[in-house]
Amino acid sequence: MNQPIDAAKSEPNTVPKLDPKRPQRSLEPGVAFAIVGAGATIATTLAIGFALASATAPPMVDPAGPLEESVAPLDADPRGPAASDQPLEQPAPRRYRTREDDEDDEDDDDDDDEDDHRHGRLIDRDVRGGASTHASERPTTKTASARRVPRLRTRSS
Amino acid sequence: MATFRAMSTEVTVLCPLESPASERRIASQVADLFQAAEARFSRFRTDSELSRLNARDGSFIASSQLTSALARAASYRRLTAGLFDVRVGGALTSCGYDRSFAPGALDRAEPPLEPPGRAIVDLGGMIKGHSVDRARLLLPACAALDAGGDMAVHGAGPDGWGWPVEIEDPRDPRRTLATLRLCDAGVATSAANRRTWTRAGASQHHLIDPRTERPSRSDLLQATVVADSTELAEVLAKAAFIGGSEVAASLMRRCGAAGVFVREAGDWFSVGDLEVLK
Repeated sequence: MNQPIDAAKSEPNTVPKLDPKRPQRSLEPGVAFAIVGAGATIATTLAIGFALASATAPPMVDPAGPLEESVAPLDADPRGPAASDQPLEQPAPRRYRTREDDEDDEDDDDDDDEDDHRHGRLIDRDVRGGASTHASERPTTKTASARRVPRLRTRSS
Repeated sequence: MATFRAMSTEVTVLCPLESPASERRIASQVADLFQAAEARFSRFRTDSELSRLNARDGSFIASSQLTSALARAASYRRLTAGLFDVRVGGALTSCGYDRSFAPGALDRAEPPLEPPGRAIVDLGGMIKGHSVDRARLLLPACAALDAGGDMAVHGAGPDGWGWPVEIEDPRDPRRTLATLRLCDAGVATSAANRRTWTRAGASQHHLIDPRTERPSRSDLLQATVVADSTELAEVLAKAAFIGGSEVAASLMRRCGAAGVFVREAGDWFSVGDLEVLK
């Protein structure tokens, strides 16, 4: 059964103020012992938990062999030992036109409208959609390398 | 890949990172958009708003869409110093292009007629480019839309290296002239190698020079333009083709666009910032 609360008798809900003249007491000896005991219990629990976790965790090293053997030496042929006798494929020769080339052209003839012409030259610049980017801005991973890039072909229609 | 036909051409929607069902759903929305634009702006459909404008006798109350298209056309005319002009519909008709194009359908023995005195508006290519641009808003982050060679690429392509876009060789459509790598761009190509017909034995094509009101004769065989929007690319490609190689270079610089242009002699050159791969 609910009893009506007598507001006049209830304690005010305020934080007690410290009396600056009253000396501050240190922790009672019993309270300090309880805190030390609780700390020891937590430490023991953590130690047991760590031991259990170590026993059940997967091994950090490949059991098939020592760590040193699982890393291929830097000078090894990435295609494997069977292909090491064969010469590496050489990429098709490509001409690269750099920003410096453009600047050289502009220096040669600043007023010549032909600066912007590239007469059938092969250009490989990191420029897409008219915005210039640096090579380092290219994505380092191909997010959809397994997918076939669709063929697009512009023509008069 | 999902395709449909609209504006006398095949439209292809590519959403390589979407599921086939999602791609089909997007393509259906794009098809609705194209069909609505064709119904309003076709020069060959007698019930289109554009046909009613062309057949007007006196004042005409235009929709906001037609008003906007005509305002854009006027701005493009100023931008290209009159090389792009939508008021060449009469010249097209007098040359024989008076119905939807199909190979052989426009061939006739009679010589071309004199263009009519009043302006007949043809918004064909511009509206196709505009439809591509509007459809681009419906596409996911990685997608491309190809409307018979006029296209928009969205994002950096499925492999993140830009969309490879081949340019057809106008002298041999089976060959590829060059390949571009593009991100977030509109592309359009103008050439006289496909939409051609004969009139009294003389070859005609659809790219009318507004200065002569006859099929254009310049030193270019083909103009491919890359711009922020497909509509702008379409307009600039047409103006560049009509104006010739010197005008093309000047237009690209002035409009911040880029392009690849094939001369009649067979050589080609590019203008502006563009990654061109052989």
